[in-house]
Amino acid sequence: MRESLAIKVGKFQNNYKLIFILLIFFLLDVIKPLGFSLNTEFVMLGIIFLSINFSFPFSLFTSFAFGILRDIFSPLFPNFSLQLVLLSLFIKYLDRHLPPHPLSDISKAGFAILGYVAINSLLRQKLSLIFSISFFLHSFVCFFLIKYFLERWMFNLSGR
Amino acid sequence: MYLPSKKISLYKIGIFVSIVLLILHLRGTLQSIFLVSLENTILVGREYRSEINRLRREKLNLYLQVRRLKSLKEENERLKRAFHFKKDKDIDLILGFVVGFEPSNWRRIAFVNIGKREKIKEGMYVVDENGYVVGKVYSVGEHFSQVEFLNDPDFSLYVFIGSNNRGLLEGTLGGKIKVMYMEKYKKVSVGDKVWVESIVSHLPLEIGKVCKVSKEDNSLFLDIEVQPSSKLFSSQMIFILREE
Repeated sequence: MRESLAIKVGKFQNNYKLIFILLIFFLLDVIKPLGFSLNTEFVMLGIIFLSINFSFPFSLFTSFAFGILRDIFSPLFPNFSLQLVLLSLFIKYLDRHLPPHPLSDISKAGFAILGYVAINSLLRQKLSLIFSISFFLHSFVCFFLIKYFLERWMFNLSGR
Repeated sequence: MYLPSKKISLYKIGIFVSIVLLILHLRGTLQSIFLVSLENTILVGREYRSEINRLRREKLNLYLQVRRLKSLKEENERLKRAFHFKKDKDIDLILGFVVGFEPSNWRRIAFVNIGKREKIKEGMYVVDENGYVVGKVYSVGEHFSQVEFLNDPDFSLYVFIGSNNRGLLEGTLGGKIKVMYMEKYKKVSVGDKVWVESIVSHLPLEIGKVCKVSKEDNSLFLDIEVQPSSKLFSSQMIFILREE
């Protein structure tokens, strides 16, 4: 009984930590401390991390909430809400269909980033190969770093 | 009595008087002959003569042009009065600070802390501290506005290249700035200034310079790339050219 309570508390803490991190990521996306030289979107990376590591209803709800938050700052209103929810659903779909493998998380993230690039290129009706490759590479490298640090911070502290 | 000396003196006086009268009559001609010969021999050499003539012609030409422009100016003012045109206004710049960017990397839009309260309107030009265009106002809120940068993929602006060529400036996803729909036969070269004129104050605003011009065989238009004069995203301080 105690153990299950500890796990529940740990999960609850993790959820809050993740929302806090996503808020920081959102701020980074808005402030862009490195300008447009770093070609990635941190909220998108956070949603990928969330969808890989957290339960389906929580990841879906958080994706939708942060999508709306981003849409407030965007000229196209339901764009990000739909995109981030779709991203979350896509990762859950890959979760079911990809065989378990030590590198499956990385491949899921790779596919998700590619999907995000494809959706945005279609929506804008503009395709730039150099931009797409640069976005993919920057996002992939950033995802590695985020995954490494967040997993250590969140799951080690909570005893997972 | 024979007075040959007296006769000779009268004859001499007659010749002298007729010569003097002739000189007086041909004074102008003689003067010009003298001056031309002097000019040719003493003052300047032959190679400068053609130069002087050319300059004289040019001087006259310019004089006539100035007179023509003066008359055109007067006519312009008369027409302006007739059509109740407003006088050219002073430049009205509003200082704003960039407080954030659009979260998506597919757009290059900044949020600026001035809006409808400062009478900002959509489409107004945005310049940096050196007066170079960085973009235009995309949308306006009560306290904030969105500024679309030159290299935003959805940015478009009708611009001048050099003195008389016009084209459509557009941003690209890769961050480059291009001028579209410039016919192949038009003379555009690297280094040509790309600029735009403000609507009310008629102020020429520099955008950048042409850095690459190429012609493709299967296209009707030139492929022109522009290097912006301003360092986009580098400064937090921008100015909006307010025109009403």
